Formats: sequence, structure tokens, C-alpha cells
Amino acid sequence: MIPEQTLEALTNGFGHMGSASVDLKTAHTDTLSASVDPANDTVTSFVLSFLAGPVLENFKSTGRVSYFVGLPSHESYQFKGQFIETRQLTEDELAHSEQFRNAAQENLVGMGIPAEPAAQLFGTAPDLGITFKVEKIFKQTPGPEAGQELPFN
Amino acid sequence: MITDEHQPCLQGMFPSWLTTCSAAGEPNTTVISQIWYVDEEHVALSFQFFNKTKKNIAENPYAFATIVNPGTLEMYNLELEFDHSETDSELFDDMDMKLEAIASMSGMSGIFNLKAADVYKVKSLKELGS
Amino acid sequence: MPNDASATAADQIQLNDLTKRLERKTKEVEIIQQVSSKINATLDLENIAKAMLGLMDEFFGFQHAMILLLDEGEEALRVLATHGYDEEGVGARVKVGMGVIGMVAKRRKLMRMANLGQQRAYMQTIRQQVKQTTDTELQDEVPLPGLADVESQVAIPMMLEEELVGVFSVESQGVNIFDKGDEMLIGILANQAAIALQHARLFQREQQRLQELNEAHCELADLNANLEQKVEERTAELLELSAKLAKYFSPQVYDSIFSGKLDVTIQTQRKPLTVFFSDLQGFTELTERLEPEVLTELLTHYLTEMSEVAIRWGGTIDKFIGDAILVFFGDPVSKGNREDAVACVSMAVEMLERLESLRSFWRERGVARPLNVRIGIHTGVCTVGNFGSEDRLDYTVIGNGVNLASRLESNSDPNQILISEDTYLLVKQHVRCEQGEAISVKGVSHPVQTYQVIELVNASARKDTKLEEVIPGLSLALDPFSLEDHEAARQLLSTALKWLKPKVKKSRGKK
Repeated sequence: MIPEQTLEALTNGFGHMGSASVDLKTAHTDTLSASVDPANDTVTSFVLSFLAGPVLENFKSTGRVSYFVGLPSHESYQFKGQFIETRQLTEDELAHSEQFRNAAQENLVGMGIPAEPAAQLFGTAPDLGITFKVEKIFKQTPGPEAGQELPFN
Repeated sequence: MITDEHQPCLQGMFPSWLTTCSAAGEPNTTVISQIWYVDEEHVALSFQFFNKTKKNIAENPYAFATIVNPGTLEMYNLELEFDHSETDSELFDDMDMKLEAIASMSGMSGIFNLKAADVYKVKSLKELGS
Repeated sequence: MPNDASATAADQIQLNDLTKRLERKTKEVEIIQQVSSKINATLDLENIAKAMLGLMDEFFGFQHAMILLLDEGEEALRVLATHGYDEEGVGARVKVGMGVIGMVAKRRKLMRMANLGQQRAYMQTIRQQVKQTTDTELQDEVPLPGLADVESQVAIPMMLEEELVGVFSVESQGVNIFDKGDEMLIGILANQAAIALQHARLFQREQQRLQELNEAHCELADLNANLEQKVEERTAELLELSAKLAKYFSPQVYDSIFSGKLDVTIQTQRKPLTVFFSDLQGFTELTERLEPEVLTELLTHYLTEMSEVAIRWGGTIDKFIGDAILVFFGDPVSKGNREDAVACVSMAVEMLERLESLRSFWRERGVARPLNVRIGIHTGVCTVGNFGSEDRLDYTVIGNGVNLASRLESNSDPNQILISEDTYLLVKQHVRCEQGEAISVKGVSHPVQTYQVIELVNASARKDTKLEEVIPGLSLALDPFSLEDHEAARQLLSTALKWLKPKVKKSRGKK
């Protein structure tokens, strides 16, 4: 059961999904929100396929996933687990992503980032979902507890 | 490889994110506040705590980083390879100074101890989307 | 083949660009020169600083800036001047090592910050975490002078010959406002400022010293004005003190001291002195029988009376030891050995007379037992002067002469004056004496011949010229010396004789 406290960051935080190749070279890609399947303890992140290539290749060869999500408040978590599959995103998921992307733009502008680049960056809707099974969750909020495992199940 | 164009990305004005992996191939992704410019071919990370990243690098020197231009939101991916750690250099002093200045403003002097400046070689630098 | 037109266009653009940059550079140099000269025109510390900051806004658009100086103790900086802040903030303190300015001072290195807001927010998160999840004691967040919502900042150490003078800080609420060019500019100005400030500081110190001197001068003038009054006050104090001291010194010694003739230090000298010793016989019994109040009154009365006599005859009262009196003649003032000795004996005689009246006085008061005095007088060389320690000096006389006078006194009969041969030889023309016994005295190798005083010669001479007789019915006192009207006296006596003419008896018979 993925802890409720992580849901906000998962679904509304800035996310980066990481992977490793067989020869230990790493790659990551940004996500534009994610959805959670609590029954199966899986997470599906929303990505832009044209950017996610190298990461997907790694998932197919090694299958190990790291997923960092963080809110503007700096509350953050890292999920680790096993790649399951890629899939299409649902209407709901797309709608949620749009919500997230709009909010993200506002956030950035609030941080002093010019509106145009922010719009460019978050203007495109994701077209792919990457699903993985969550095995471990770690707290990543900056502070003395960063790196501590968040028990679940 | 690193030019003036990239300088704004290395000021700590926008976070960077970094992925490393263990010898067993287990990836670890984290967000850091700054990747420091050393020279055209090198960048540095501040080593403050013994964390997963540090552990991974000890086993496997390769890392992948993304830096962001805070004004344009242009992003660049860097393939990195750990080179060496510094404790007695201008780089270290600059890092330490900045850390201490900010920490002291929040009443946290002495809580952050910069252990070293970890210097990485930049193997490749590509703009995102290219 | 390259298009000539486009090549020329490109060259032109580059040329324009370079020209612009050169113009800017020139302008910058001009401005720097102007600012520098304005800075160096004045020597007032705060005014220089304020002027500088104003100029920096005027020429370069640095809207919020401040200059801080390193404190003497080198532990903190103090705001000297500000520009573009709501509150002056002058005098506000920044600890070395605290915040951007504090770190710049600590490391003597410039710092350029671009997004302080974000950095601090990050730190705050951690601070919260630390507070919530650990027991770590955190320091209080100290408010630092500057913009509350500062984002960009350039802080430069002002150095002068390897020494840190202070810190120059420029702030902005915009993110990433300052660039390397600004760094350089501020750096140049900071240098200029350091020099100017150092000069001004030195000048200020000189001014301060001058002011201190002036103040000291005024104080001195004040003091002089008050001096007279102080002298008066002090003199009054001294007089009071000396009046108190007078009780403890014999008048002659006291006068000597205060006239300056006798120096109050430990000084002694050997001189011929006539020493007088007396004590009351029977006094010890009185102490047992009389009330303490009555005894005190009696003793005081006696000593007062005797002192008065001594002073009148010019003797130096050495001390009273209970009922005993020690007086000496010849120091600090001397009329000559002979005169001193005669005066001493005369004094002793008058003391005896005085004691007689005291006796009747006390008898009437209920002291039945008569007071008798024994007196001894000797003339000889004694050591006289101030004896004792630096704090407590006693003006007294010591020596064998004193011992001898004392021995004479003990050998004297009640109400008698016993003198030594040395004294006798000096006074015999003025005092009629009877030879007494020779007594042995410790410290004197041969027995000392003593003499008992009978009467003063003048007095007895005078006595011979007086006629005083009392018989029942007739009381006659005739002193021709003091008789003014001899004729009247003769008349009186004649009348008296007529009264006393014997009665003539008529005889009967024989013729």
C-alpha cells in the first residue's frame, strides 16, 4: 500500500525517472505527473516518448527503476522498483497531467522564470505511461531524514 | 565542452538532477541545488553527507546529470565520470563559503560541513531534445 | 566564394559592437575617475561613504547598497552608510562569518549571489526538518541588515595592504541581476573606498585626539578656577584637624610644628634641658575611696591647674602619667640654661602655692585627705625630639637626665622640691636652698648631691620688706613697696598710736 503521504508528490510534483544500462551508464527523463494503482503497488509515470528513449531502452535491458518526485515545498520521495510495461495514458490521466502542467507553469513563473519557456516546457502533453512495481520508497526531503526508507506494506 | 552558454546553468539558480547506479545496476535519482563549473571539461558536486549517490560513485564512477538554464529553461544532459575529490582548493573554498553564508543566514552555522568538492569529467554535453 | 557584401556587413556589425563596447568602457573609466575624485575630496568618514553610494546609484544603477567597516576587535562589522533602504541601519552589526557579508569578511573573497530567496527557502526546509526530527540545537536566526526579500547580491571585501577595512555590499530584489562586469566595477570602487575610508578614519582619529586634548584643556582651566575654593576648603579642613591634634601636643611643640620651625619627622637631638617631675602622694588611696566621677573631676582639675602654671612659665609639658607630670625647659625654645632652670624652679614653687588653694577647695568638697605633691628637678643633657613610627610620633625627652629628675622626685618630701646639684649651681642666686642628702642613681657613677628648695630669693627679699602681723585685736599689714601715700599711712599709724597711748598713773607723795 503506497503511503498516502507520498501521493501529493507523486501526482503533483516534479518527477525524474532514472535508469541504468548493462554497462552501468545511467540516464533519466522528466515526468509530467503520475498515477498510482494502490491495489498492485504500481506507479505509472507520464512521459514524452521522444525524450524517454534511452531510459526505456535501459528499462528493457535491466528493468531497474528509480523515480524521484518533489514538490515546490521540497517535500520529496524516491521510489525504486521493477519496470513492468509502457502503456497509453487514460483520459483521466491526461486530464490530470494537464492540471499538473498548468500548476507547474504557475509555480515556475512564481519562482521568477519567464512565462514563455515555462509554457514551452510544460505545454506539451505526455504521450506515454511507464509502469513499474514499487519495491521501496525513500524519504528525500532535504534534512536529516533524507535517504531513510519509508516503510510500506 | 562547457561554454558561456551553459554558465547560467551552473550558478545554482535552478536545481539539477542526477542519476547514479550501484555496481549491481540499481539506479538512484536525486535532485541537487547546484552543479559547479570547474572548467570546460569538468564540473563538481559538493560532498556533504554520505548518501546513496556517494556510495554508488564509489562503486561505479558514471553519472548522468541534467542542468537547466533558469532564464530560458533550456536543459542540458551531461554524461559524467567521477575524477577526484578536493578539500584544499579554491573550488572547495568557494563551495564552502557559499554553503556557510546561506546556512548562517538560517541559523544553521556549522550544521553543514563540506567534506569535499567532488570533481567529475564531462564526457558529453547535449541539449535536451537534440 | 564568400559574399563580399555579407562579409562587409558582418565586419560592420562587429565593428559597431566593438565601438559600443569601447564607448562603454571609456564611460566607465570616466565615471570611476569622477567618483574617485569626489570620494577623495572629503575626509569625513560617513559623508564619504554616503556620497559614494549615492554616486553608484546615479551612475551605475545600484539602487540598494551599503558599506560596513570592520570593528576594532575584528569580530564584527558595523554599517557605516546605506543607500536605498527604508531604515538607515547605520551602526547595525554583522558578525564576521554571518551571512553573505559576514562570510566575505571572513574569507576576504568576493561573493556573488543570484537567487538568495530560493537558497534560503531550501535551508528553511532543512531547518524545519532538523527541528522536527532531531534534538539538534539550532541557533536563532539573526536578522541581518539589508533587503528582506533580497535575491541578488554582490559583496566585496575592501582591502588595504592585506588588511580588511570593511565590506561593500550591493543588493537587488531581482534574481540574477549582477554579472561579472558588475563584480569588476564594484571591486574597483570598493578599492577606492577602502583607501578613502582609511584616510578618513585616520583623520577622524586625529580629530578625536584633538578634541580629547581640548577637553582636557578645559578641564584644567576648570580645575584652576576651582582651585582657590578647593584650597580654602582644604585649609579649613586642616585647621580643624590641627585643632584636634593640639590636644595631644604641648603648646610649644604644637606651635613649633605649625610654624614650621619643627619638622614633623623622626628627629632627635641632644641638648641641655631642665627636667621637672611631679606626682601626687596619696593619690592611689584616693582612687580606692572616691567615686570614679569625683576622681576624674579632681584629677582633671589638678592637671588643668598645673598645666596652666607650666605653660605660663614656658615649660614644654611632655606628658601626664595619671597624676604624674613631666615638664621640660630648653626645647623647643630656650632662654638659656640658667633662665630655663630658674623658670622651672619658679614654676614648681608656684605649683606648690596653687596646690594649697586646691587643697582647701577639695576639702570643702568632701575630700578630707590632703593632696601632697612631690617634685624633682634636674638639669642635664637629654635627648629630645620626635620618637616613634612614621604614623605616630611622640615629642618627648629621654635620657639619664630624665631618670635623675624622676629619682629626685621620689626622694622628695611631700610638698617639697628636690633639685640636683647641676640645677642648684644654675639657680642658687635666685633660689634659697638647703643641702639635702646625696642619693645614688642608676646610670650615674657617683652619688648625686641634692638640694631642697626653700624659697625664691626675690620673694624672700620681698618678704623682708613686708610687715604682716596678727594679734588679738590688731591686724597689721604694711608693704612699703606698694604703699602709694606714705603721708596718709603715717597719719593713720599716728592716730592708731594715740588710741594706744598708755594711761598715766598719778603718784601721791614725795616730792
